[in-house]
Parts: sequence; structure tokens; C-alpha cells
Amino acid sequence: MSIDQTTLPIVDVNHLTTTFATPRGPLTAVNDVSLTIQRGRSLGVVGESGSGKTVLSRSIIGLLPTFNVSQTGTAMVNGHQVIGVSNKQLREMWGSEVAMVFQDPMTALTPTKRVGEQIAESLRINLKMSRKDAKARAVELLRQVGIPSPERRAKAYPNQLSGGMRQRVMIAIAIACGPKFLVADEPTTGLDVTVQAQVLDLIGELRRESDLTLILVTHDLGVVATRTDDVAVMYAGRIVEQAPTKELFANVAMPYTKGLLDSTPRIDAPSHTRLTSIDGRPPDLVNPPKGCAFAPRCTMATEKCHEERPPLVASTLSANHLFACWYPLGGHAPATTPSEQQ
Amino acid sequence: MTDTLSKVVHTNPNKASKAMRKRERFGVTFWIATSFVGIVVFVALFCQWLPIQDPNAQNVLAPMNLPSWHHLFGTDDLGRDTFARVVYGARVSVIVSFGTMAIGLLIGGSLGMIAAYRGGTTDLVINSAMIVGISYPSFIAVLIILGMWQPVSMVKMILILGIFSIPLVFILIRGATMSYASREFVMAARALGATNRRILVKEILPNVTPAAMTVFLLGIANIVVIEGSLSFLGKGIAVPTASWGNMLNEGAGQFSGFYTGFQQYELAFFPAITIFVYLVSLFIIGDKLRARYDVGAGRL
Ligand SMILES: Nc1ncnc2c1ncn2[C@@H]1O[C@H](COP(=O)(O)OP(=O)(O)OP(=O)(O)O)[C@@H](O)[C@H]1O
Ligand SMILES: [Mg+2]
Repeated sequence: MSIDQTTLPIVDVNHLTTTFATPRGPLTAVNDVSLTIQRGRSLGVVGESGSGKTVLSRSIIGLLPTFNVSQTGTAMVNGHQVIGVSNKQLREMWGSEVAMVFQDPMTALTPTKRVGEQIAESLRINLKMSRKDAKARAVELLRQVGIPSPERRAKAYPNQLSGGMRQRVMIAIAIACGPKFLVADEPTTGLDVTVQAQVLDLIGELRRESDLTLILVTHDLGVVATRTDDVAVMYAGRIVEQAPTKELFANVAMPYTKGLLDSTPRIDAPSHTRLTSIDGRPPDLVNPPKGCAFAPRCTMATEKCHEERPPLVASTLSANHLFACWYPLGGHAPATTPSEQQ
Repeated sequence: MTDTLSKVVHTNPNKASKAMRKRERFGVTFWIATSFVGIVVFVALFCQWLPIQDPNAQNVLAPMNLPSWHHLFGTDDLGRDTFARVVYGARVSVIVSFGTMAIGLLIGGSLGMIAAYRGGTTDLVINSAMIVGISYPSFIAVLIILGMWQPVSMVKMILILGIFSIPLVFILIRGATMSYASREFVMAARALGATNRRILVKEILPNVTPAAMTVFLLGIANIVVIEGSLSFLGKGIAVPTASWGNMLNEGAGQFSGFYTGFQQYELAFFPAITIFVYLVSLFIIGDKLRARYDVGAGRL
């Protein structure tokens, strides 16, 4: 059993679909997503705003609103079934085995509690530590995430800390109970570039120290370029391209991914290179288009793109490189046997 | 010069915020209001043991006296000491209003938090029931029930007003909770493995407390007035017991009497002014507390 646990992928998601009941009708925020992550690896999830990155990463660990949501498909995380089980069962893995760093620490930290107490809370819930031990450990954790004079900071309220420190506090809370799997949802939004790098470096260090599996959500391809093993690109609730990071950057298949890349500042680009952003707006997820969801904005779209949705298939160039496009760039072509991810 | 500069630069955030807190301090009005309410509550609870005249002792020789050293607020038509009656009247008003709001907040408040947090069907069912509960003339219902359940005692009054206050408290607290129930920090607490009960008590309750405080104080002010109105309509606490409400009631009856000048108004004047100051104090306290404790959360 224990041998199985370590050789099986820590995250195994199959045909996961998450739908919200909205006043306008069902909104499919995550649509038929399948992916696996091996223990200790890291996956970057990128995509435009509203593409479903947050909902996907939360669906994987079962952390969704308690009402107006329906899910189909399966997700296994560290040996736990996630879809269709009660909150009570999920609580056993939340906090202890799986943890999350939230997009905006100002809203994800409780405004009325000192940060030390908020860290201690996790320890008290999951490790049943005494109040005193938990407090001492909280200070230790603050030191570990690089907060100067942690004894004093432990007594501060969230609004008394800088953005970067708040995000470090969030990370301290997330790693408090030694999780195996960490979901970091845009952990650096709203931070300036140097602080951004520091926070990401911190996550990287913690990962190496404790063999943590990581999902790093971001809308910035530049962030994942150097920090994650694999990248999944999302559009309109689906994964539209997925590959090992190096491979993706070396040879993009999707015009959408290329669009994202062109709108990402690159250090190696000549300084006069203009940044472009993709024209048009993402589709309405309540009434998604019939064919390829990106077709209305794609400069290469044909009749076929508007009529028929391309499946996610492996490339002839590399079995690890998946894409969903009728007219891929860079010499990619669908391998004859479509990937099981289809 | 450099010295002050370095001080400015190196002040730690804790100290800075302490200074800020000082500026946000309550001010004199708040403390005057609090002292007044404190005194009212104190005498209401302990009047039996205070050196105050018997509020029901009649003195036929001294009816309708003007205020004097012996009778601070004068006497009424039966020669009873008005000051003593105002003090004992506070007892009814304070206990009834606090008791009522305690029931209202305990039941209506808890239901409001649970409904807003759970959402979905739970919310739909409780909320619909409460909307029904609030959309008929409850004051008239209270009048009818009290009319059938004579003589009215404090306990009966608290029970009935308490139950009738539940829907309104529910709606206010549900609204306040709503804005927190979907906040990220609730999700974050779930992600830590916190149970629903823990989230309600430890994450949401502290944030809803300022709103609950305001509801509590405004509710108290309301109940004092309602108790007065009920007394005025003859459905309040049975007559020989003094309450601010029935004192107003009796005082109003004197307006058409044959006394002249100040004496004519004296009976209603002191209870009325006391109620007024009490209510204004409660509003001031409620307002200052909200201003003080809502800032942190309100900024989000
Ligand atoms: N609780 C919800 N109820 C209804 N719709 C929701 C809910 N949460 C998310 N959505 C919708 O799901 C879609 C995907 O949202 P999501 O937050 O995952 O996007 P994102 O890729 O994380 O974007 P961003 O980069 O802005 O964070 C959006 O259209 C959003 O409106
Ligand atoms: Mg997001």
C-alpha cells in the first residue's frame, strides 16, 4: 500500500468538469480536464484572467463553495477521492496533506486576528498542538519564511504588514503542518517585481527541502518559465496546451499560447520589441462557442475552427507535448494515436 | 534633526498603529454616554439596595410637588416620589430591553449567521420563514397577545418581544454575515481543515460582532420606546409597578388636568427626558463602536 502511494501520481484528475449555477444559467468554469502530477514535480497553470485557473486548482483539492456547484469526473489527491465526498472527509486532507496559498493575502487572512494566532490555528487544528506550543512554532515558521523579528511580527494584524510579508505569512500557514501538495494561486499578484521573485524563490526553497508537489497558478508565463517542471495552458475552462516547460517555450503549438508569450516581457528580447496583447475578449462561459473557443480571436482560424472543437492530442514531435488546435504552429502535428487525455 | 528623522524612519509598525489608535479614540461624548448608560443599568439592577425612597409610597399631604431637595424630581398626583419612580422605572425598561435583545440576538443572530454561511436550501427555508415573520403588523400581534395574557409581567413581556424581534435581527445579521461568508479568509480557514462550527465562531463571529453590537443597541432603544407605547395603550407592565412607559402614560393623562404651569408637565417631563438622554446615549455608543471596530474589516 505504502509503496503504491509513493509510485502513483500524487494528483490524478480525469475528465473533471466544474459547473456553477448562475442566474444566467450553468457556467462551466472547468471543462473536461484531465491531468496527472508525479510526486515532487511542479505544474504551472497559466492562462488569461477568467480562463478557470483558480477554479481548476481549487476543484482539484475539493475546495469549492458549498452550494450552487456541481462536478463530474474524478480527482485523486494523495490517495484521497476528492469529487463527490463530504466536507468532513476532505477536511482530513486539507491543512495536513494539502495546503493552499491564496491569491490575495489581504482578503485571505482574517482581518481581526493576529498573524501568529492564524498560523497557530492550523497547528492546533491539524496537529492538536497546545496553545503554547503552537505559538512558539508559529514564531519559528515566521522565521523560516524569512520574516525579520518574527516574535514581534507574530503579534501584528495583517493590515500592519507589507504585502510581501503578508504573502510570507500565507506561506507559513500553508506549510505549517508539512503538506505534501501545495497549491499556490497567483501568490505574487500585486507585489513588486523584486518581492515577487523573493516570494517565488521562497516557495522553490521550501519545495526542495520537503519534496513538495506544487501547482503554481499564474497569468504570467515568465514566472513559470524558470520555476516549474511542466506547464498547462488554460483557455475557457479547458487545458489547450500542455508540455514540459522547456519544450513549451522552445516550440509553442497553440496560437493562443503564442499570444500569451508575446504579451510577456522577456529578458532576452531586444529592447525595442513591442509587447502585444491578444485582441478581443474571452468567450462567455455560459454560452461557449461551438468550435474552438479561441477561434473568434485567432488570426489563423478557418471555417473548421468555428465549427469543430479540436481535441487535446499529443504532438508527433514529442509525446509529452499536448495541444488542442487544428492548425498548430512550429511543425507540430497530431500523433496518429490520439492521447488518452483526449 | 537627523535624530528625529531616524526616529520617523525607524518607528515600528506596532508603535505607529498605537499612535493611530489613539487618534481614533472615542472622545468625551462617548464616555459621557457610556457613564450615563452605566449608571442607568446599575441603578436598574440594584435600586432595592440603594438609599432611594419607596416608589410606591403615597404621601397624600404632598401631591404634585415641584422638584425640591427632598423630592429631586417632585411628586406625582398620589404624592409618590418621581425620582424614585424614574429609577425603578429604569428597572423595567432596562431589563425588558436587554432581555428582549438577548433573545433576539441569540436566536435570530445565530440563525442569521448559519443561514448566510450555509446558503443554498438552508438559507432559502429559514429566510422565507423570517420574511413571513416580518411581513405582518407584529406590533398589533404583540398587543393582542399581551391583551389575552394579563397581567403582564416582565418575563412575559421579554418572551413576547424577544420572539417578535427575531426576524428583524435575523435579517440584519444575515446581511452582515453574507458579506463575510464568501470572503477568501473563510475559504482559507476551510483549506486549513477548520470545521464549519469553528469557522462560524472563530472567523465570522468576530467580524459580525460590530454589526451585532449596533443591532443590539438600536434594538434596546427601540424596545424602550415599544414598551412605552404598550404602556401608553394600557397593555404594558401592570400599573403600580413603575416603568418609563407607564409613567409617560400617567403623565400624559395629567395634561388635561386642572394643574397649571410646570406642574402640569412635570409628571411626563422627567421620564421623558430620561428616556431621551438614555436613547441618545445608546445611539452615540453604537455609532462610536461601529466607527471604531468596523475600520479593519470595512477596508477590505
Ligand atoms: N463561485 C462562482 N460562481 C459563479 N461563477 C464563478 C465562481 N467562481 C468562478 N466563477 C467563474 O468561473 C470562471 C473562471 O474563473 P477563475 O477565477 O477560475 O479564473 P482565473 O483564471 O483564476 O482568473 P484570474 O486570473 O482573474 O484569477 C470565471 O468566468 C468566473 O466568473
Ligand atoms: Mg484566479
